Amino acid sequence: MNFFVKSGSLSRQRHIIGWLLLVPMLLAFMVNYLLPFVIAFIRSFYHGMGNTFVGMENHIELLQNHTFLLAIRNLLILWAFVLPLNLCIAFLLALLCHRIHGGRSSALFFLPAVLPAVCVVEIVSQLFGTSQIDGLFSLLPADWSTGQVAGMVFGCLVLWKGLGYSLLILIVALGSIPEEYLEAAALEGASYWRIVFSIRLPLTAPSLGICAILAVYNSFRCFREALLLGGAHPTESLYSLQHFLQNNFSNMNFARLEAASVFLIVIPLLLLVFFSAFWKLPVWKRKEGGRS
Amino acid sequence: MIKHPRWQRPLFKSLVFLYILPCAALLLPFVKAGVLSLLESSLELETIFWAAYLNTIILAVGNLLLQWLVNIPAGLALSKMLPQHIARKVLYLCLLLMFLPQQALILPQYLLLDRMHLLHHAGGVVLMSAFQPFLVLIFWFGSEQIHPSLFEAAICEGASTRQCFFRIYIPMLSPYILAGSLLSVAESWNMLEQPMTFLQTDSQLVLSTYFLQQIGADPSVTAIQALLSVFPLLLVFAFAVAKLHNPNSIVSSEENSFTL
Repeated sequence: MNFFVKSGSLSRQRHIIGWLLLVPMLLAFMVNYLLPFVIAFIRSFYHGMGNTFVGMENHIELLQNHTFLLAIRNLLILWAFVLPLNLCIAFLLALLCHRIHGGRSSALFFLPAVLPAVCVVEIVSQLFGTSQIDGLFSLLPADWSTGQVAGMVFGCLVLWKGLGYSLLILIVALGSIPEEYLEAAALEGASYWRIVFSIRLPLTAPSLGICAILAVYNSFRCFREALLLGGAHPTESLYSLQHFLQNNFSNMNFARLEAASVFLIVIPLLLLVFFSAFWKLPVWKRKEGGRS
Repeated sequence: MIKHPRWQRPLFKSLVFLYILPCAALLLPFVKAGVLSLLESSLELETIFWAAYLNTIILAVGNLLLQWLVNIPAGLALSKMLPQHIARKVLYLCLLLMFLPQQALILPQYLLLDRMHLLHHAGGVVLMSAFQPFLVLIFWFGSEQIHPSLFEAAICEGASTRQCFFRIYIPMLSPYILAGSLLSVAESWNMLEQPMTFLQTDSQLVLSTYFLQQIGADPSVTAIQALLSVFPLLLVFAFAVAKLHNPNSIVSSEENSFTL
């Protein structure tokens, strides 16, 4: 009896073993996400941490809150800046790396992603200066961290830290395109850029989708840099959703926090359900032989 | 065979160099103040910094072990064991969870840990980081790349499920385990929100929460501490890059020892 190979008589046992292997993940999902979400959902209809039912009051108050709207606006600006740049730069670099078989050196693009937040902030401080130290370059005004420029610097940081993920994924994706397609197009007289736009780009579109998701994921993780750059109450251009959540937690404004939690979970859920109706990920289609 | 212009390789190498060049700014304090004077001050670093360093290592190792236990079996089950429609739903769920800011659930997680008597305990932080959607996706993807004919051939030779798992599955998955482990360690090393909320005593500081307390402190000392804090990650990164560059080297040594 071996569960690694499909066999009609063993399929039921395979499924049972599969579910057993999934149990730790399901338990962890329940403790890490599901139970906390249920608690947040229920508590979002109550006043503070008390038992007074207030219906949608917390949600309405949240949507009228200036700082929450500021955080949402900053997040959308960040995504509008980072997502297209991340995908375009990573795609062009991946094309170059794929052509020359960049190998190990391409992995170095991933280095900023593993740097701790304090090192990233230290790099920014050493390059552009702070109120305490002089920077290597005098490109920015001395009080840049309290002005509009801070948001731009933060956007560049998020881009710098997240580009490695997209690049590595796209290198693999470009490498998986069958050479026959490219050779056939070249034989028909298609130029390099024609092949890029008509063959490589469409075939790597699902991977670009994964890269976009990772860029979103990384933009949330970079809150630590924003916190170290601007503190708990930063300038408006640096104020993020995470600041909003963290500050409301510190101020024990639990009702608003729970309403925000529900909002931040339900909206992406609805968006994903909406987009998944149009965007089918081919990676989910398991081919014969197990490769995708 | 298509020939590529010679300038492309130097161009790519230059771009790589420019991309990682800002990291050299970590060494600027040593250039400005002199290596010796900064090394002397590094010897006088606070005990609390080293305690935070140790706590971070413990947290990273604890997270890594539990995440292996939870996410590797899930990747195997989704790829090789469960029906495709179930696997697809779970994978979509993982994608959805990557869209959520972790801070959104901090308060309910705090309440849950309080109920479980795991608040102000490193175990609570490790427990709340056990399920990592990106690791499930990586391990699922890695499992998908293992061709079933490998298992069929081994079974024809009389291999059991256990042998298939330890002699084929794990060695073939090892590049993905290595990549996932690197991401996991980097994430644990950088973890801020959970330790800041769930571990509130000074003896439980980790490096990220320690540095948060150091805002406004002597910049040269912070520079040394930042450089010291990045060393383990750079070592893990260098190891992973060296191994991942030739993943077959990881597999072949295991495959050579395959005996029934």
